[in-house]
Amino acid sequence: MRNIITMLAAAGVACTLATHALAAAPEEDKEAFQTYFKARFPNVPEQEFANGAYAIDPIGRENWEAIEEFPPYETAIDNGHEMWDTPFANGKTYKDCFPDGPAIENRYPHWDKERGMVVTLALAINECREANGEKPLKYRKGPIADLLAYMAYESRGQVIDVVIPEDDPRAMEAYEKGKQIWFARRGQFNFSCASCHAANSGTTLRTEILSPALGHTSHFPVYRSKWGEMGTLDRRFAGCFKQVRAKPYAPQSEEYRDLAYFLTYMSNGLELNGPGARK
Amino acid sequence: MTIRRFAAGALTAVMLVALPMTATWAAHRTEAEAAIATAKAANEKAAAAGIDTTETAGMIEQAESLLPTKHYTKAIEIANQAQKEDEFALSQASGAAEGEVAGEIANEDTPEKVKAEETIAAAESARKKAASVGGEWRDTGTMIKSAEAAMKTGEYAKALELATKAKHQGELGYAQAMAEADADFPSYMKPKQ
Repeated sequence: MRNIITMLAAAGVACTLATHALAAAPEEDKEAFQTYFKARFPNVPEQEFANGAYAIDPIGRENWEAIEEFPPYETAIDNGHEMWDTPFANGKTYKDCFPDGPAIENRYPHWDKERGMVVTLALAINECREANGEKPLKYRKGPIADLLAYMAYESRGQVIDVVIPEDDPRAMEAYEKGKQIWFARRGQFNFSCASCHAANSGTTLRTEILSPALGHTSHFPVYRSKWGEMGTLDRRFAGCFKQVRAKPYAPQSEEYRDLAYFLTYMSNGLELNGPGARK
Repeated sequence: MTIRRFAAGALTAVMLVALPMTATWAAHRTEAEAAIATAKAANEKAAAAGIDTTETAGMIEQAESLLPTKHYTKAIEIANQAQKEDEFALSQASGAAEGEVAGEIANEDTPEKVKAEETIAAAESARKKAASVGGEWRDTGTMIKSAEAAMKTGEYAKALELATKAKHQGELGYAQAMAEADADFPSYMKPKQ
């Protein structure tokens, strides 16, 4: 009996230590990730990484600051605000799904223990719509980008704080899957996200400066001059995949939600500053 | 008048005349309408010969639907493909009608045709295998569709070439995804110990 108790106690201690070791891995990853970019760009203050290439390109920054005086995403914010206030056909509004109001971006993405999946704000919006008898919005652009722009604007200044709960190993699996997607080479060009946004961040690809990955998710959705309109993180993921001649995953697929989970975690500590304007 | 001004003027005049005559110029609505009309004529002829033209009729409708949005180049591409498919189907059916021997030759599964069909099937299998591990490349599916379209117009050599490339891409995509299954922080991002 004494031996059984001793063995159970030892097993309990081992499990606790293992859990802490596993939980330490994302923190260590984040430290390594942020340290890498801070060393690569030593003159960039930490929060400035949320401004992407404009933190390291003085000419681009001058143009960007001029654009920000009359931001091209203003219309999207207004449209999003109107969407927020407009009741569904059943009389309810988005506030019934999000009672704390639109300033909730820092709660996403998060791990949903009940459903065993990563939930992004875009997914939550469409789940709200479907729960209230409305059709879901397309994820890459259009009205969802407007509503996300409004919520991002209201959430400006909140600190990114993605949590990987220690009491659910599936959350760690989702994080690890997102990490694998980010570092895996893919497509006919055999590039990973890291190829451009880590190893070659700050260098030039054709005419564009490759932005460092630290702060990548802080400012979405974005008005991109290339698109001539707003686009979401899903749209950018798909664009990057196509550029390396890989087939994109479906918007809000498990793969892209896990990728957003990992990538946003890597920017923990930075302030949200969406919506953004980019080339 | 200086030589430079004369040259500039002459060049401008030449371009104003020559460019519209070449493929450099964007497709015009009249060209798209002409392509659709030709496709419709081929479609009617094929239908009159008892050929099932549902698919090509749908393609012609799709081409027509692109006119209001001024996608004339795409409309021409689709109409031309529909026309080629109907003409090929008609030639196959005519070959069968002309006599037993002629019909056998026309409808024979030539080695080239069989090879192309087999390679398309293999390419699709390779594409699905790559997709199953998240390794599908961007253009593989499009290449397979183009190969299938070439089969419908009797362009078996072209179909084989496309299917061979697509199969290769599928195999490479699978191998790539498997090799990257454990992708993680590279050494240059890890803290020095």
